[in-house]
Amino acid sequence: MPAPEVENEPAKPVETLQANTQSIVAGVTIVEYVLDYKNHNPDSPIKLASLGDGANHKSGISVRVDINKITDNPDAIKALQEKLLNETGKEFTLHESKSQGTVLKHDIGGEEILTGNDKAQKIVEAAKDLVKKAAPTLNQSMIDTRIDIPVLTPGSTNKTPDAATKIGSSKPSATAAAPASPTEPTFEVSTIAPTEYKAEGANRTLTFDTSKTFPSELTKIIDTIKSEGARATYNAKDNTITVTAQSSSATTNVAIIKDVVEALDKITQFGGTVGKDTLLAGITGEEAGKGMAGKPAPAPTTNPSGPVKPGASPKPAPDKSTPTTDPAPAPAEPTAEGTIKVLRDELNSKNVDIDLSQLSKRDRATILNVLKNAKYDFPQDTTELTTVVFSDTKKRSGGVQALEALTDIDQGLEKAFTQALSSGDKEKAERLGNLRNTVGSALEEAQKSADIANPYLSIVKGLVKEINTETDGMAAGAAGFKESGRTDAHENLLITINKALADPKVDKRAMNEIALAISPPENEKNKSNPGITDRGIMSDVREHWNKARDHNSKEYDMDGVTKFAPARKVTESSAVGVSQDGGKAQEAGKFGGLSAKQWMIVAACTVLSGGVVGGAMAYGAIKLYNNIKTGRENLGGVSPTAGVNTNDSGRTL
Amino acid sequence: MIYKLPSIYFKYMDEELAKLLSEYPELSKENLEEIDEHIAVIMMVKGTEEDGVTPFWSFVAIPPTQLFGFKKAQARGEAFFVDDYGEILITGQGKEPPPEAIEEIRAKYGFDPDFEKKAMQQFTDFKKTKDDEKQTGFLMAKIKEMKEKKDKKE
Repeated sequence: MPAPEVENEPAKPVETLQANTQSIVAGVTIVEYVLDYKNHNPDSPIKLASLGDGANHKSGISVRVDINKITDNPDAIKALQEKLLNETGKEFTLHESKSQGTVLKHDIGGEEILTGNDKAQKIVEAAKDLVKKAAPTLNQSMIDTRIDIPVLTPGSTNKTPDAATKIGSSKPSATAAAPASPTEPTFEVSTIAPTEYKAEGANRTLTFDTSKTFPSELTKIIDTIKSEGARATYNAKDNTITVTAQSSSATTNVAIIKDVVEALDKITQFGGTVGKDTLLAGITGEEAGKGMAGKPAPAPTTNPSGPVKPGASPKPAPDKSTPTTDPAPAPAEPTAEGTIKVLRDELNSKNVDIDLSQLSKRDRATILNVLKNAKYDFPQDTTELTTVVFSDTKKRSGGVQALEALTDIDQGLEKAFTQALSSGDKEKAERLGNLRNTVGSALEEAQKSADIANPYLSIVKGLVKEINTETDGMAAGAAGFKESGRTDAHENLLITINKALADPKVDKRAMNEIALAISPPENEKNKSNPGITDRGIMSDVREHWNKARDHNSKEYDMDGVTKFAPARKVTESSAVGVSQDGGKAQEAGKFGGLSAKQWMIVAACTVLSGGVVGGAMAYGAIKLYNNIKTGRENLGGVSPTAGVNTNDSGRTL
Repeated sequence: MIYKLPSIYFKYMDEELAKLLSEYPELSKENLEEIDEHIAVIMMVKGTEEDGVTPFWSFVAIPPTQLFGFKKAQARGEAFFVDDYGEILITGQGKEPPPEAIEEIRAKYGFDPDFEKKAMQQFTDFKKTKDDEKQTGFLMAKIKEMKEKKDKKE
């Protein structure tokens, strides 16, 4: 019986997590983390007891189930939550973290697991125990190990496929797939033969023929591939292993593939028509922009219409435009094989271009539509537009604006991709996904340029990211705390601010870029940086910024450099209007230009939040708020919608 | 090909508000994301400066999902950064905003002292409309489910 295709199957055919309501093709991942942080963040959702060793720390473990691959399937998430509850007796709640995205999380408090002095070991043991309960297929020996667990589709049984038996490795692997062994080997020398190398957007895939590979080596090969940061897919039907590197950067992915090849060379032989050296030479050639054999060289860049600034009218074709008798034809295939470049001739360049000329017309149109939707002001006809130019303003450099535009494009593509997925249009989803990878690579490169232009900005952004990670509770233990109660990253950020503000070489615009990087999260003016998510830390940093700024203003001209508004005590607040897209909501119709749905949300948020501050709101609002809260518990009374009463039959009165 | 889909839902939204909003199908993730991108509630804010004495006033544009957090910060009774929750449109010292400030807000964004009252009325009315039958059906199903649970217990 031929072995069916398997991908990251568990090592043993025992029960795995199963969603019983929806078909799921993606897997989930269990990740566990040790937390060790001081109680500096009273708003943290994780409340843990103090340890008995006298240290002023609060510790515990957060066990997280990575469900990013199934976020579009709420029923499956719910089913998984129930399964985890049944398996572990612990409730796993939905949680968003900056570093991990969407996870189901359970925190083990110190009070549950800690006695005596051997706290670290007990934490580890407790986490392992819980993960083992959640996924009995795992034979986990290391903490911080990510393990793929397949989620079966309805109708399938909780076991691995019949023919997928464990290959004779004496050491079971927690991370590797267990490829099938359909037949005994009839060859004397075990080899792998590279058969295909592909570039799709930033992604790189390399396929090996494993028909002449000893089965006992397959698990090791897969483990090796994964240890280099690539994804390994074993296809038992075709007898191939596909290596996929899918970080956002093409350069990184090429490097990963090369590392995989080098690592595999140490454990097996390369056979077939393409040996290791030829393979590496090909990949290196691709890296250098020479293109791979069989892969057409990139189309020459053309710029028929010249650059257009957002907000400006389309310019007539300037002399910069290259008259050509052979304009690049728009690729017919709906893929994003081209690249987006962010051009910055010199660090102080006035203009920064986003060059889309290497993309297909269709992909260019998609990107320009995303920008239009993000309220960039473009000319009506953008069919010939290949370059978008961002110019320096008094407070913001062209580079930062270009970064924000790329971020907008990335977010817009994500939304469109999600919509395509939910509508079942796989072809469109794949095209948009590839395009998004291309944008991601451009964003990464542009980020580097911007960081070179303002070295402090790079450091500040790095520290902000670190602080946000600590705030998420991931790495606080590693970071440690100072006497002040701050982490290293927190203190380093304050020091960097001092240095930047005292450095006369850093101009006002650069300083304002730093100010934006430490401004509130999701600030309308700061889309390219998430800001500091922890409000307590952000307050501290902003106060420090203001003090350092005022101090330095005695020596330097600081006019025009952002000063954050001071902290204030609010005693009274009331809603007096609504703004749409930064202006007045048009006064057409009953809802002032808003759709009924928009108005409903505004009204709901206004009324619900009004209930928080009892004295400041009208009695009716408080009553309504209370009705909403109690409505969930009372049957036949006021429903959660307040105002919709029901009779016994459940019909609306 | 599988792509990571970082959801921004619940990321910065107050958890309590998120829980309340999750009761309403209209307030779906997509709708909330969209509305925060385009809509802000204009709040008239009064209080005292850091010194705890000097009065100030501000008009602040706050995205709907941030309102809850803002009100919670106000309820704590401590000084906080107002612009953590939205954009300060105009501010000054004194107990009340001067007429010219109100006029500026009225011209740019609209100014209605009865906005909250109307919001509450609209919120209630909205639920009574036929357009909301889908929502009502959802709630009815929930209520029915709760009732069945209760009957089972009895």
